[in-house]
Amino acid sequence: MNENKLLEIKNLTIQYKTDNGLVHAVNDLSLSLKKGESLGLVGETGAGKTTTALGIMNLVPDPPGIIIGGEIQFEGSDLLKLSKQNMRKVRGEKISMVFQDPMTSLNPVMTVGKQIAESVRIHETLSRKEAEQRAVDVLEMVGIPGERFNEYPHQFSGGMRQRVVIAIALACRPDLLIADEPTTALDVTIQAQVLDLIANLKKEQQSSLIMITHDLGVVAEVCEKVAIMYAGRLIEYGTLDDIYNHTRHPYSIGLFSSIPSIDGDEERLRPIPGLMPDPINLPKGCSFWPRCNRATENCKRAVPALIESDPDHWVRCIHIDKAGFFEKNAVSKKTDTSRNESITHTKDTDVEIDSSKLEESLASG
Amino acid sequence: MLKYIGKRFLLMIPVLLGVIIFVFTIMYLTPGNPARIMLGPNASEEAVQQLLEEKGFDRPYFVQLTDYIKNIVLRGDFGESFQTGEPVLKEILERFPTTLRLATLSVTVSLVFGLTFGIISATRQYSILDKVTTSFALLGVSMPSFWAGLMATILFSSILGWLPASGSYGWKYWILPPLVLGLHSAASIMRMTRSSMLEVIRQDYIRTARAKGQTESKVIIVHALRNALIPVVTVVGMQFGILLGGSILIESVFALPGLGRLIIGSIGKRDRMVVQGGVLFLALAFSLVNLLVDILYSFIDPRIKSQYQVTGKRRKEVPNNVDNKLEKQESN
Ligand SMILES: Nc1ncnc2c1ncn2[C@@H]1O[C@H](COP(=O)(O)OP(=O)(O)O)[C@@H](O)[C@H]1O
Ligand code: SF4
Ligand SMILES: [Mg+2]
Repeated sequence: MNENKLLEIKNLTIQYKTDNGLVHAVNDLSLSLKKGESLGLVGETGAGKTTTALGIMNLVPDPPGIIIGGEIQFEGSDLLKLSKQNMRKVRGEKISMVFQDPMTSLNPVMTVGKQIAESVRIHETLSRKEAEQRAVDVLEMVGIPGERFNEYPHQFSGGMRQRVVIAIALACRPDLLIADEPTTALDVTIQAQVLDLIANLKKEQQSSLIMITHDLGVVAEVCEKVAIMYAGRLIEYGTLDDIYNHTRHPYSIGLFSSIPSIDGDEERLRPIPGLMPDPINLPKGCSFWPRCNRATENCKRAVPALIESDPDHWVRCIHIDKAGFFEKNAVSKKTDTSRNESITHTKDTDVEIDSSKLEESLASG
Repeated sequence: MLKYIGKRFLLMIPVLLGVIIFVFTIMYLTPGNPARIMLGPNASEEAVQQLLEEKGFDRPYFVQLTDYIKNIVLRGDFGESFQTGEPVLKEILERFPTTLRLATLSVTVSLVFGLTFGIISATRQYSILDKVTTSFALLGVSMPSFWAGLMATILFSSILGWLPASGSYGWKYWILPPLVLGLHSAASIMRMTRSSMLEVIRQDYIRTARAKGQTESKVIIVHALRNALIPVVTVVGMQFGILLGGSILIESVFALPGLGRLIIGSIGKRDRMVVQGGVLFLALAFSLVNLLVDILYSFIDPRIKSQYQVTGKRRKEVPNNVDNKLEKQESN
């Protein structure tokens, strides 16, 4: 494994067994993260983001969830092969997670101080006093006065609770923080504060970050790398610049054109007409074809492979080649004037157009 | 909090008053002349009439009722037993410890079994152990306790001869009754614990605890149990009340000299004062247990405690304008 790589997920597949059928939540997902890097994991609700995160933490609820296969290499070992005891040592100390809903993710009958101190005492041999002192410090670090140590979660507002959850997650200075839509449940005014907090603490503690979100604005603020998920698969992956300025995948292009402006990004993404396919019943071939305005018969045959369209910029679409075939076409079709200027698609002139493919796609679309 | 407790005590007064009037009326309307029952069929009409007058039972209903209440409130006098001539309060206080002991032992048994098996079957949902315990619990709640008592006596006393069937002459007599009563109510507690625990285990904060790296046993005991207990406490309080009252049957089955048997015996003898006093006493005990449960709640669940505090505080602040202004400034 590469020295600088902190996390490397290979071919992760996770399913839920339900009464209605097998939910293909995460399909053959591969990702990697370097030390200190921030990755944005973006996708609509139901794309499998939370399941991926729970997979990393080895906390997929079982039943109904089963990790079918894959590897999660972290600091030299496969997390999926660790004993329960060793996995517990990873959780909270090496990898921490901030959950989506701060209103429900704190124990209502335990003081916030105790909940933070608990995390510290699990991983470090400290006396109760020392752990409590540490909890007070961590509370102040996330901007809550230490005197509130003995208060219960219901005495805090949503934003404050999310700070407490962040404090719990960061109490042991983890190498990797996974934040699962940490601001989705919060008021707009609070969202920015919490994001800043995460970004700053991440920098201070030099930890890596996986920021799960359906909000491209959030990604732009905190991430260097972006991975876009659709129906349990990674469909585009690259640097912030790759994804924002050289968007390739038709789904990603749709995502960007759905943003009214970079700041007023409250709405859930409903970028492209139609809904994400039911993960119990994924369409054959590219899962996006029912909604893709460039789909051809070929798209329905087999799941497209990830293709490196530019160095380290990966796209899962059969009609994308190294030249980024769809680019111009996509921009002209999808961009509208209300879109924010800061998100500009590539206008490279050195794009080679494969005319036979173009004809094919136009004919079908 | 203290204010709340005081208020609850005041609220008990109308409840108990209602109980008095209700029981008094029923006993008043029950056919059968108590003096005749006491003196036997051969006593003369004059003797019966004289006893009635002596006890004041010939007076109109309303006069008797107000007299009864007045005596209790002003002098703590619950009247005298017809049969023994002893003060009712004394008789009750003699018998109550037996009932209380039975109820307490039974609640202990039911808590130990109910909580343990509730937690086990919730954490191993759908395992064989879970299926066996839930089946037993279903059996338990569907069986009337006096019937279970009779069956247990037949098995352990008559057939196996391990334990005495009835009476109270030492510890051996105190095994079967609490076990029968306790296991019976353990069934409800177990079912409640199981369903409440299953609900809590799915909550996000349990996942948070696991994400900290906490061990599974601590996740259950430290995080899940206390939350799961909130609805269980209500059931336990209700069971305790049912045990206090239900002991009326079980005390008869096992011939234990408790309050329940005193009441049953006195009903047969039309010993009005004892029945009234006994029922009132049980009602009082029941109300106190309920109050205790509510107080316990606020210790388990801080959200409830702060509710009391908030309402107490608000009431204080309404007339006090200065405080109100200060608070507004603070919240700004
Ligand atoms: N506990 C569960 N049981 C059954 N299906 C689940 C469960 N959790 C998630 N899923 C399903 O798995 C898919 C992915 O869900 P999730 O990972 O939560 O997506 P996201 O976080 O991107 O919104 C969805 O279709 C969802 O309905
Ligand atoms: S593979 Fe076909 S259907 Fe899928 S995104 Fe590309 S063009 Fe659209
Ligand atoms: Mg999610």
